[in-house]
Amino acid sequence: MIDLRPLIPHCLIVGLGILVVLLDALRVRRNACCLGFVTALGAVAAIALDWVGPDARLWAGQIVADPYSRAFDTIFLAVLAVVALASASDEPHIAFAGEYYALLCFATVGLMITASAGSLLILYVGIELSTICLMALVGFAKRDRRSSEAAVKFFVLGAVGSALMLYGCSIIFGLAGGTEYGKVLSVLSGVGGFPALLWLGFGFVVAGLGFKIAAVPFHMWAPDVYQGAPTTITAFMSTASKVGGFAALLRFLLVALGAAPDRWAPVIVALSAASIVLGNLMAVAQTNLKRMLAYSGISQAGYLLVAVAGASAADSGLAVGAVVMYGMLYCFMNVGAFLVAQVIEDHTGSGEISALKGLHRRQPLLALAMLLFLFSLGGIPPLAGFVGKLYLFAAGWEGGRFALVGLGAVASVIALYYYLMVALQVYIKDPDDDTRIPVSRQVSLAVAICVMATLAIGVYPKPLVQLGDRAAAALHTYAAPRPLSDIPTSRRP
Amino acid sequence: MTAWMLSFIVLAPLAASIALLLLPAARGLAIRLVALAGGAATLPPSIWLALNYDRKAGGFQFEQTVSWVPSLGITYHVAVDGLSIVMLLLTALIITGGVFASWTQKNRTKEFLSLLLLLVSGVFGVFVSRDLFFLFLFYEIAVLPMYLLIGVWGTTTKLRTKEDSAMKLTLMLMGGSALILVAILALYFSMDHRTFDMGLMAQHAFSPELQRWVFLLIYVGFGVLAGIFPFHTWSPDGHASAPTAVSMLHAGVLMKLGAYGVLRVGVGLLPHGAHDWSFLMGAIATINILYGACSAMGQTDLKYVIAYSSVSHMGVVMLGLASLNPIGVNGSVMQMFSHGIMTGLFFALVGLIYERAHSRDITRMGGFARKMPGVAVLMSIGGMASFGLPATSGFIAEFLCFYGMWLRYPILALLSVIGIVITAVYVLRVVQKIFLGTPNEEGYPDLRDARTTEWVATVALAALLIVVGVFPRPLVRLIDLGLRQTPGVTYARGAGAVLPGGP
Repeated sequence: MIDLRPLIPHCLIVGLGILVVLLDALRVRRNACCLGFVTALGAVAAIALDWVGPDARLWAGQIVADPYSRAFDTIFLAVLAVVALASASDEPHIAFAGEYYALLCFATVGLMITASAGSLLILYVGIELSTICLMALVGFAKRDRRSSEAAVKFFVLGAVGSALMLYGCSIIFGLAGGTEYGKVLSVLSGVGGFPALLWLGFGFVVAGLGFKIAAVPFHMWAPDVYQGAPTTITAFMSTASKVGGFAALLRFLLVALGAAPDRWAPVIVALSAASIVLGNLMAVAQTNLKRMLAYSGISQAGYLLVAVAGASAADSGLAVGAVVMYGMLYCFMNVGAFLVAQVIEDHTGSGEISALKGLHRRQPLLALAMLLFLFSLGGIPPLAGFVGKLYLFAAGWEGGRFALVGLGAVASVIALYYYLMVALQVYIKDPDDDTRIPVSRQVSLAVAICVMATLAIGVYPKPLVQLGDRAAAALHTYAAPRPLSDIPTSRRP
Repeated sequence: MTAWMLSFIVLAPLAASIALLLLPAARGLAIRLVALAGGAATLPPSIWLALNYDRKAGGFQFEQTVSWVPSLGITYHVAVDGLSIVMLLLTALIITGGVFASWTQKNRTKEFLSLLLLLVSGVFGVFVSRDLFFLFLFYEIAVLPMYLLIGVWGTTTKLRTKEDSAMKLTLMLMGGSALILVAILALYFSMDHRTFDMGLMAQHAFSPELQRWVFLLIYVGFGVLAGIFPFHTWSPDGHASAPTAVSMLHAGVLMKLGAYGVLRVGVGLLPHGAHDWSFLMGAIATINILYGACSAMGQTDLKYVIAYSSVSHMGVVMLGLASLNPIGVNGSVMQMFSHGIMTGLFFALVGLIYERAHSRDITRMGGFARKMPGVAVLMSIGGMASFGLPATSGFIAEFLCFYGMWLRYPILALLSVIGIVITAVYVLRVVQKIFLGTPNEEGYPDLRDARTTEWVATVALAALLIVVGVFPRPLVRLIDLGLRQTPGVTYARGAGAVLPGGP
């Protein structure tokens, strides 16, 4: 009998999605915001349940529940909770509010599966589940032409991305005779080297995941889709979905391809450098806040890839810890920034950076919060972004990626420029019209959570470092190669 | 109790900064009093530290360590030696003066003082940190509020808008920090037992090749803030645009953070690297001194004059540092103190003059001494200290710097000493143009002497210049005790004996 306890949180979130739809359909809405609160509470409960569950490898390691997957689950569920909370105030205006939350829940489950995936098949299922839900969510404001346009773009490019990935999976399956990472690893270390076909399979899988994390050159969709999608969905996509891609990428590279890190590392270095340079340079030219954050997100993906590139070194503990840590804090600061963008956009009807002009007079606390998010994104202490970036660079340095770290450090000065240009509007310029911008209690709470997290992690990063260490240790034991004799010889290519 | 003394100095301004945010903006007096309390609260402990520092034992004292992230070797470790105590004293004096100088500030006072105190909390943090992680963290906290302080409360000059000045300053300084970050990572990962604790790092012998290029990163990275040529260009624009209290703090204390960083991290951890680059440092410092002084001579905007004179005087600091012998480095730290006080005084006075004359164009001033005799006297004292007249602190400091450099590279000492003459020219020219000559009654109806709170800060600063100039022994002694623990500074052939007040 298989112990299914590790899957309780996943089931809980699926159930939550169904429950929310039912609640909406039955119109059991005494309070107009109840669906958002239910979703947020469910997400928090799932985090708790996740951590009390046992470690396990289900179905011959196809699904792995370990501190590594739990750390990422926590990130996705935290984002779900914050986004659901922030959406709650808008609930009366969302048509099909139940479906909105349900799709968010299912997207989150998809990401959780991605983080637990121990085989290419499950990985693909997780990625697809989250991407398809997000496709529907991007076009959720269907009367808005931009939203529909974004949904079509996301659908077409997303379909191409997943087709590539599936093709890559099939090639690796053909080579290894199985899709479980453990088997891929042992067969490949038996073969030795990196056959040409594997390059093809690896390339396609990385392309698919690159689409998910929006790394250059698979980033084309991001600015348009981020701009068009409802802002809460953009917040979810740019954080949870991106980090989900990293959870999958890291496990795939370190476990399945763990035998030949020196082969794939240059590819990651190239992706990272391209994302950092292009993302930062393009962000400078943006006048729309969400597009700017989209490009900044591309550069942030590049920074995360610095650590992934560093992970190719023998001891990858620091790298995994850095990705977990930065993934977590990046979510809070970026969701926070998007929520502020949403408040402004709702009130002024403009998504331009200049719409933030004089925010310090129109809504002082929101201005202060935005300032903190921007500085944190720019990596300024004592905010979370500083510790996170330091940790990423440290991981890259430990893995011998000196030039990449140097590039990242210098490029972060460019990044600071465009973050400060927003800060200029928020804090230095005086507003044209002095009216106060109203912020609903739900959004205030969500922003406050993001601010707290950004400050707390920055000042006292120890708990998160420990979380990262545990995740790294779990991945390390998981990746420990098993003896070749486990694999039937007939299956070897 | 004493273990918390240093943390108190760091946290008091921070607490006041947060408390200010919670106060309603309408309570003007309460806001100013809280800010003053937060700033001035650091003064008694700093003096107490200076008095109670055990001069026999030397080294780092008043230690406090709190384990922060053990798995990465990050510890909250604060301690001070004589050198840091001198810098703490300077900072406490300047921030107290700075709050007084911004007493009449009207626009968004609460946020202004809050950011000012946040900045100064970072400065204190750098001076007490023994952990490289925390040092860097505090360093950036000290630098970044500058962007908002200049951007919001600055003045747009003829050459540059305040937003541009603020952006230029922030990006150049952050570019410097990027280099420092890389250098820190390089040091951290070259050790077997990884730690950010500078005490433990100093025991590790870094390989000479590593030291050579890491020192260069540290030198340039921190040097940007110290205004080394050719990375000084943020400084005149930034200082000219900044409001009075910010200029005081920035030229008075923040630029010293750069020199302090080079001394503490560069010379302290990488002695070989420091000796490799000593000539380069000396040569650049010489350029700073001459180029800064010549530029100051060509300015007509009073703030630009002071700003370029800061570039020149920071050159003297770096010159003393580059000598790497006890005389020069003692002079260098002494010059940091002296220049900090002097510049604080200058900017406070310039703020006063600007407030009354509504102009900083020195060519259109004249005869101000009749209307503001007190300001004229104070400005002259500052000016004398600036070109190192004996009996002012500037004399002791500059003499030691040039003498130290003479012992190492006589040619650089000879060249750089010309700077004193140029300094005398522009200082006397400024004093003459503003205060002497025929008064222009119609142009400046509001001229009057300083008032109560304004006297407090300026007279105290001016008095210190003379007191230290006449009686430098206690200060030099403190500094010297700190330097004896710094590996890069070579104490040889009993050189310490020639110091005034040396053992």
